[in-house]
Amino acid sequence: MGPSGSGKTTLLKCIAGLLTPEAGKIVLDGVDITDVPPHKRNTSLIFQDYALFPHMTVEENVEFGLKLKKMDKDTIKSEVKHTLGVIGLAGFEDRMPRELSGGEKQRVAVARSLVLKPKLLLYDEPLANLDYRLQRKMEEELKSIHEEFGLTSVYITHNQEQALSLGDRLMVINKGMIEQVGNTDEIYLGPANVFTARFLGEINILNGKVAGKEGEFVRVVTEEGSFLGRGHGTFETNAQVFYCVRPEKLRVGATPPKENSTSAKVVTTIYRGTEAEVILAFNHETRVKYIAYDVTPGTFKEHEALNIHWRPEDAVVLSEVSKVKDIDIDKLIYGS
Amino acid sequence: MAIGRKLSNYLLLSPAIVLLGIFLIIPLLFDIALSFWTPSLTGYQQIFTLENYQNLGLPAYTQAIETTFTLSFETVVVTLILAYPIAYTLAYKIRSPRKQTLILFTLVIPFLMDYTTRTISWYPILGLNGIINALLMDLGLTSSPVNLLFNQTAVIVVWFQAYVLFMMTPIFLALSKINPSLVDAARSLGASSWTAFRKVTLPLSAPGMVVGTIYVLVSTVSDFPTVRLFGRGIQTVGLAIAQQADGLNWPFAAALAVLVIAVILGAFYIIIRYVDVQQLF
Repeated sequence: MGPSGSGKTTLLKCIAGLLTPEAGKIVLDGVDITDVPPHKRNTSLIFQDYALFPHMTVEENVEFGLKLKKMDKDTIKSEVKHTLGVIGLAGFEDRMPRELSGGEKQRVAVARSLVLKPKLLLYDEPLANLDYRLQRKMEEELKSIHEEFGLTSVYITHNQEQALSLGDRLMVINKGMIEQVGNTDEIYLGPANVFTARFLGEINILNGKVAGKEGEFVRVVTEEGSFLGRGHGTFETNAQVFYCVRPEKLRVGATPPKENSTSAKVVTTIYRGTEAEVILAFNHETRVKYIAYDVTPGTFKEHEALNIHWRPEDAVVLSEVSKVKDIDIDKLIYGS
Repeated sequence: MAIGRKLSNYLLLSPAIVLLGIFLIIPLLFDIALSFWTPSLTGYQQIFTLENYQNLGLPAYTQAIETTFTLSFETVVVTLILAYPIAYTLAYKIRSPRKQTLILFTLVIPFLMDYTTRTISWYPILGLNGIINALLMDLGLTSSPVNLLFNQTAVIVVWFQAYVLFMMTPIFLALSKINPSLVDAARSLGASSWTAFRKVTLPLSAPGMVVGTIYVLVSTVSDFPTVRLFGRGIQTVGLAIAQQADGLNWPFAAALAVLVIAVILGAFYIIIRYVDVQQLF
């Protein structure tokens, strides 16, 4: 995943063979496929705009690749039927793409690649053009299809929720550079730098200076107080760092613990049903976000003073902004 | 005041309907009526007859009809084959819109010239003392000038130049409307670039080819001056109509015209039945 313009689609097209990289190698299952033309790669790309052939029926679209493999007609027919059944489009064989809804088109596009059982399935933001509810539903379906067919997939997205819900391993890229690679939960909980931390969900960031190591934690002195957090690598005393805590890790309590605790005032509350986003102001006016679950509207009143605390293991101390120099993170995350 | 939606639609269309009615439908109906009337020395008499249609069967005219459609068909094939790569290059290989416009404009320049000037300018090129013959003789490929004018090939060459834009433009439009992801998708599903072209690009550009074919077909069938200037001795239906009309045999000229219209409409019907021309718009 990465913001728009980070090179996600370019990378995917290189893997599919639709673009030739200027340098480097593409290796699939131990075989260098850098110079293999796309139709001989055994990879299949699923497009954001579906790219269904408008002059062919659903069945003709799905059997397109199998026919090129010169399989016998009966096998093709049963494979197409099976795949359409799995994808929930049984009975749609004779429809034309223009008669399908966005979700149905996307299913056909997936079926068309799936039926070939490629070594590598490539998804180019396949759900980006669907509305939110349908996206959620398709996410679940893609996950179960993925389990049923057991095909390795590369899925690109700029949507952090999809990245976290669908991915096993995650690579965050930015301006053509790899910011971080790892398992999804590792990256979410232990971002390597501010860019990854902010791109993968909401995070509160306090600027501060390193005071020193305390056991497994690093002590950071910020305007709002001195806090403990996890830090990888070495931290020199007085080095400028970013002290980060995810909003859902904050706790409200009457009797605050000794460490990582401060008082705050409620600025405003955004009620979202399942959760409420509470914007808080710390003593020195630093704004932070707190996510509370299962709240009834009116629980948090404006100007109400709260005791906020969090566990040291839930905070991360970062020294790097990004692997890319001179970037405007806000612009990259929110678009220009 | 509320005017019904349907009515207001028709009102907006009315200038076009009036124009088509006065200049196309009425003359066409008159032409059909005329073809059933009796020729006379001063034009026609309103006496019903089938004689004009019987005369269409005379060998001179069946020959002319055959020549006309053969010639037009050959021109369509030549323009189609040569215009397609131009349109393809313009649509896919030239990425800058400025260059695209420049090339399109260059192709349009000949059409800004007057028909006569544009057509006559072929004489110094194809003539006995023309550029091509001079070149052939200088290269020693021939010792005496070759007759390049006044045959079917000359007519096709001139027609190609005159009508290639009418073939190229609709194909260019059709190609431009094809989503580039489709070819990528075909490639990714196992199609070689040639197969992807054959199975995706070519069928999707069919509406453009059909519209171009119709333009060129209609234009060439009715273009008799070019045949007269470059196809000396070749008789086409267009030429025959002009001659019959000049000779005041209007009913027979009308019958020839009805025949041409019928054949062309028949061709349209067949083409449109099998190709979804609406995709182009």
